[in-house]
Amino acid sequence: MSALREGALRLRARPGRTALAALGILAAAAMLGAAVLVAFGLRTGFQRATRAADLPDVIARFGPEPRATVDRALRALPNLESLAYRYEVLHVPVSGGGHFTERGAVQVVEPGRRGYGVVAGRDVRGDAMEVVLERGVADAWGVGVGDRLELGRAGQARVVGIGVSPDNVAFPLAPVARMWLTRAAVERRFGTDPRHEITEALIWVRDPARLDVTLEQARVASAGLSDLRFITKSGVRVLLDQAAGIIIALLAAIAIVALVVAGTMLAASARAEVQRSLPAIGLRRALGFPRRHVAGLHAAEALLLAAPAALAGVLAGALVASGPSARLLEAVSELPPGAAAIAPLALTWLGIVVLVTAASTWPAWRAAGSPPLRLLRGADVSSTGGGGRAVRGGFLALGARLALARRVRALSVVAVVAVSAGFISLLLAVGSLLSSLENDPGSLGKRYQLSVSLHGTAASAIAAIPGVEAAAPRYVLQAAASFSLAQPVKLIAYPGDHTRFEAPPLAAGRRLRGPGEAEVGAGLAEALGLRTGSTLALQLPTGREVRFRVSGIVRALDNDGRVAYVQPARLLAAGAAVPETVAVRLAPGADEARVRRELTRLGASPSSVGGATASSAPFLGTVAALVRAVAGLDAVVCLFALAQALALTARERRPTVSLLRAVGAGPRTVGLVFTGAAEALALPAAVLGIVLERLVLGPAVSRLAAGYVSLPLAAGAGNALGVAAGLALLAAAAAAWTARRASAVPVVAGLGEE
Amino acid sequence: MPLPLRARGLAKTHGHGRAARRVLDGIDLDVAPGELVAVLGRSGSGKSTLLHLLGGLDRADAGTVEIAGERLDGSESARAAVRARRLGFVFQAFHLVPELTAEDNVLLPARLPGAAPGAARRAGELLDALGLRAVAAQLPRTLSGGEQQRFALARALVNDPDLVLADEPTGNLDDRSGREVIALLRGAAAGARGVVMVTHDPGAAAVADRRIELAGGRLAG
Repeated sequence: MSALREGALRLRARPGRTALAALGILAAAAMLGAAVLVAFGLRTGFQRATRAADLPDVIARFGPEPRATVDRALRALPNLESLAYRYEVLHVPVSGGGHFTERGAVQVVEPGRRGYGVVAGRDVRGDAMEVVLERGVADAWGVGVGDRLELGRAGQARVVGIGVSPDNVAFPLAPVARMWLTRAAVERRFGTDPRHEITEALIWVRDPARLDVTLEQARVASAGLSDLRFITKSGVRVLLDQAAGIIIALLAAIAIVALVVAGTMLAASARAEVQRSLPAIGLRRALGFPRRHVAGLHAAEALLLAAPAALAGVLAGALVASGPSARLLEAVSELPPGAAAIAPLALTWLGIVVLVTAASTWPAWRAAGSPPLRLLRGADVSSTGGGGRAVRGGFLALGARLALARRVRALSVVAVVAVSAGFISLLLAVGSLLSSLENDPGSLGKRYQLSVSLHGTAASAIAAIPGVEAAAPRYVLQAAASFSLAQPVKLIAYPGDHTRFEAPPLAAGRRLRGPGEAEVGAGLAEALGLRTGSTLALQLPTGREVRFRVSGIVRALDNDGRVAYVQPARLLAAGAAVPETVAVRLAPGADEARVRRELTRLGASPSSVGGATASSAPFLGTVAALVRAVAGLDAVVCLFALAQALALTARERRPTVSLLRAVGAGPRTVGLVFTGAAEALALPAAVLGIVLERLVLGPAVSRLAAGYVSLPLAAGAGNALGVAAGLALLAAAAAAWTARRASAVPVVAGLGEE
Repeated sequence: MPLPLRARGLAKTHGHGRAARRVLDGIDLDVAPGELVAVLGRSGSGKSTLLHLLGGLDRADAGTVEIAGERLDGSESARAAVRARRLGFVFQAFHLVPELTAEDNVLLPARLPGAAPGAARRAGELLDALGLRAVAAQLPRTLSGGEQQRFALARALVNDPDLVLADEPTGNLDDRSGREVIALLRGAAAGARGVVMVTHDPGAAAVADRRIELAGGRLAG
């Protein structure tokens, strides 16, 4: 009889246990399927969207200029593949689907490459009054292809397509409702524009590695264009990350950790199954079957069990995660993986099958090498069993002793549940972190509470308000690194000591001491290869270059860590204007409402300072759904691991349980025994899980998500207690289920087992 | 004084349909205080089934069982409570819990809700009386079969039950150990307590006050 056929017969002969093992594989595979889909979708979403949208390598934005002027300047650029132009009209009143906004952004496009992708319907063409509507607007307003929009003075336009452009996040994360319309349609409605003005140039290059050369020339050639800004693909990436980058990075990191967690659980679970079969292995060896026969049989069984269960699990997990992860990607104008996810999911399935098979075959092979007599006696039953010590704590303690008697298996179960508990603990810590990132300015190292829209010269008047500890103009400039123009840099400057207002922790070096020095974020230092003592050369929007000596590296979360803190003297010398924003730090115990009233009296409109993801509120619901889905799957895995361990204990200890019942133990007492067994596994696992999260999982996710900053991902006392209590409840539920099943077995049947 | 055991019209069929086999067919059995009753019969005659019905470990198709005047019926919890208060079991396979010391095994029924008070004292007396004190702290697997069965007997007696049910108590023992256990069972049938012993060992049955034969689902003798 072939190993596969015999394996199938053995699986069929014990349907309950087979179903339980299959359920365990299914639950872990579901977690893996969800994790792989999320990680793959998030890691590749931007590239997929840029490819689908044919996003240009550089977008140059400027004030309205005649197309001929711009074309003359850019046409001769080196490394140029193609050019396209747009005219953007902002603040267009737009209504449709029962919704209205005054912040419509109509991008008037010309024949040629477009720089956006059409995901439904078709592109705009000819001079018909038709638009491609940005997907975020279409989804939020419930507008589809064929519907009509009212576009201010332009009147009605028909939606012919739904578009995606990853040069910005989607509506409503971005407050403007974007759409694309042909210049021919606009000219037909409003007449020909004799100047043929444009506000954007889309530049595609032949060799992206030589983008710096093209940018350098573009800056020179475009001198004289008003309000000129260049945005590169990596700049677009940073722009998207400002809205949601840290959240996406966290989710992707969680998914990667989930892969490791689920893999560990599958391996431990498969090993426990072999452990349970040791007497049967001993019998075969005693009858003379060779070692490879035993190992082959276990391999065949594992294969037959894992292949369908893993397939169902991976598909279920991917299905559960696909909705929230697609919404997440759509919110940042990225595309869900679609059919591209089939390959990684298929690999996941294959990986699970190989892992389960190997985790069953190897211990079976090793066990088959042991003396048959030892295997027949149960092999892993503790040799001491705590002998000589009286049982304290009644039937709970008896249950604990029953569960711990099989030490290897008990350790496997504790390991599986500990890893699961650690993972759940990690998810709770991520939840707390997300909340702090949204609400706590301290998460960005900000130490000021209010931001005031007033000219910087008003700072001294504001500082005089009772309750205000300090006030200073806050300079924020978007610059580009001179030696790598594709790298955007956010420059933040305060007169004097910036740490009164923003004090991201120092990772290396020291704080800046003068106008010639800069503290750079670790993200920027990594991107530009900067160290303490290096020179930071930046191109300002004014076209002038400024240089600073790097005095220190700081762990800044803002702008993916691509920030530099300086003093404003050199910026002002390079033509930067005094900002229209003043940062206000309140004195401890100050009456914020009163300070606000005083500020309003000065003509300012104060606003509270948010955290790193304050602008991503619409996003967080989706993230919460994803985290909940993964945590739910993980809790199912925990429950399964405990139920499986108890079911096996109940099965093997039927004589003991029946004896208890024979001498007068009712269902409640049997329940106590199994509760003791379950808690003996769950409580150490909870403690181990929390330690694992604090020492391993939290730091790992922090490193994976944002190497440029240290994220506080250690579970707090409340979370730790929650995990322990949740696990204790899961254990009690598993115990109740097992006790119920054990009590349903006739006493006589159990006693007759020996 | 109520009888330790009073069974009326016990019937039990194993299997269904054409495979159905009537194992017990209207059994009546009374056991008097201090009486040791031996139930004999060939293998498959239904001896163990009768014992299981008498102890409420299995449900009869018909009939009633009273232990010291208390009906053994109702829910599993109710029957378990009667077992804890009024019954002691001795099994052929001893059924000592392998993780507990021999003494803890003896005390196991005493931990149940509703167990008679004074179990610790009785356990001590039983260990002394049965000569088990020296090995009481050992695990069952380190004990001989005879010692294990004596501990099982001490466990059956620790709650001072009204009835002890013994299922082939010498089946796994050598002659000498078997004789010792039978002597102890003989001694257990004292005062208000009765003992029912199922056996196919004529030597064991010889010490009983009454021997009854189970054949064709009915008792004779």
